[in-house]
Amino acid sequence: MVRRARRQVCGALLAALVLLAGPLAERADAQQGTLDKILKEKTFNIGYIPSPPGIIKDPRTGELSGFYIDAIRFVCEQMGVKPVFHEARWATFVAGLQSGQFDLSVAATFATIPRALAVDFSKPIHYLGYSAIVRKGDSRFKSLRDIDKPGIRVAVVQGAAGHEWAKQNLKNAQLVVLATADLTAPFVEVSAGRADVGIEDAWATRRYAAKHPEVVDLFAESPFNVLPIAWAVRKGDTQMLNFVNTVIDYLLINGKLREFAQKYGPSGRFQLKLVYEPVVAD
Amino acid sequence: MVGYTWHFGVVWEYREVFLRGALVTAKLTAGALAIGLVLGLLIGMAKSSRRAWLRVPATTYVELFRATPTLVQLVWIYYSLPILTGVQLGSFVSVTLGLGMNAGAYFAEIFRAGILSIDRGQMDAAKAIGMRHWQAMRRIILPQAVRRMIPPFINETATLVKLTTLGSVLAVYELLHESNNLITNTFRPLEVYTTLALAFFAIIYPIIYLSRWLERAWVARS
Repeated sequence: MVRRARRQVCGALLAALVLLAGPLAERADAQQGTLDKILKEKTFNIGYIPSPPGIIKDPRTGELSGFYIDAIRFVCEQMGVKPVFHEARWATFVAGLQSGQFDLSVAATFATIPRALAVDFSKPIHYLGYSAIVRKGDSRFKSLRDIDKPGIRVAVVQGAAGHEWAKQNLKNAQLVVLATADLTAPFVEVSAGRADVGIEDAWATRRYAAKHPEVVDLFAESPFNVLPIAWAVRKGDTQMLNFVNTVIDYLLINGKLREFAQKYGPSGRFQLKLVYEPVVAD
Repeated sequence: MVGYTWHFGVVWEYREVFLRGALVTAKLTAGALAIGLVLGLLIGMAKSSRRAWLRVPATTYVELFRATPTLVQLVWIYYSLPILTGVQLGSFVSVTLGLGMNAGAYFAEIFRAGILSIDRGQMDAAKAIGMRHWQAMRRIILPQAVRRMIPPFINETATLVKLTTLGSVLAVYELLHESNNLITNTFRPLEVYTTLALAFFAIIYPIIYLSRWLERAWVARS
């Protein structure tokens, strides 16, 4: 009887040890540092969200391309590690970082203050503004001031940076907030006549207007709410953040990123102009 | 629609995208159905048991899965489970497992209702002629109960097909996610979603029709 009880206790302890072994090993990895882990395993887990032209997933072949993908592939080549790509959504990419599914998100994310509370953003890679879609022939709108009037329905994507901007700046217009990940949804509202104005990033507005003759891109030449686009790492992962910042400096300063972007044509993005001057003047 | 110009040519150009998505949707449904049926049978029988140590965990399982949103269950399995256990599951496995466990809770209720619908006297009679509980279940109760369970099972399967679209949240390339990616590349949401609706109708309607046909056939026979 005593022997049987002892055997059961030993069995239970063994099972507990096996169950704990996994998480403990993970924790040891976390203490070791993400970059050390990547170099040791020779595998870099990278999160992405398809968003052309920076990140394109070919609908036919499923192949990844885009200038952010080319850039991170170049970085992996320099590091001597294999990139492993994990797709995420805007609603879940933070969870992907936190749960360790991937160590870096190369999704072109607008670095805003509320988002910076959840993840650590890299230095800005590019800058992208917002624009608005209205129906062709709708002559009511010339400037942003014309949008913020009673009776004007403005469609935005819930949680997007454009929604934040609209909440802060449009006091009189009626907001139509769409709970979707589809960035074309505000424009469809305009096409369908359920909204007067659809707001999204200047690249999305430009592409939608090019394919839909019934609408026009209102601020194609002068986008508003210009925000930095950055990559993201897990909150508090300073080793990884320092590495990514160095990578971005390198890619921007030597023109590598511009070289990658050129292949995909205009993207509506901007970068800061670098002006060099001698450390000591002649 | 105010002056909208439809371009269904885009959909035709990318028709293989829908076929590939439909295949993944079918695989997700089949996997989840297999898990759901096994779990449903075991949990349904445990829930109708007189033994509390079987009945209480089974009831808790069913209530937990029925009272929480399926989307939350999937996200939890994919993102929270690795933090708690260190076990990383792929997105396809997570969705199949999550939908299977969710379907298991609903199937369990169908099994339980089916078993309870058979007169208790039949079990007593089977035991009286020397059958064990499981033998009586397998030979007497279940063959009758299954016939009553099939229509609700088929309805639940149709629901399961629609639930596979939640896989898009974890980037599983089923029909909806393939469509979303196509929209990102073509900027033609209305044409793509219209085709998506038709694709789901083509998958689900035969299932619903089968359910009605079976019901009618059995009513006629009885």
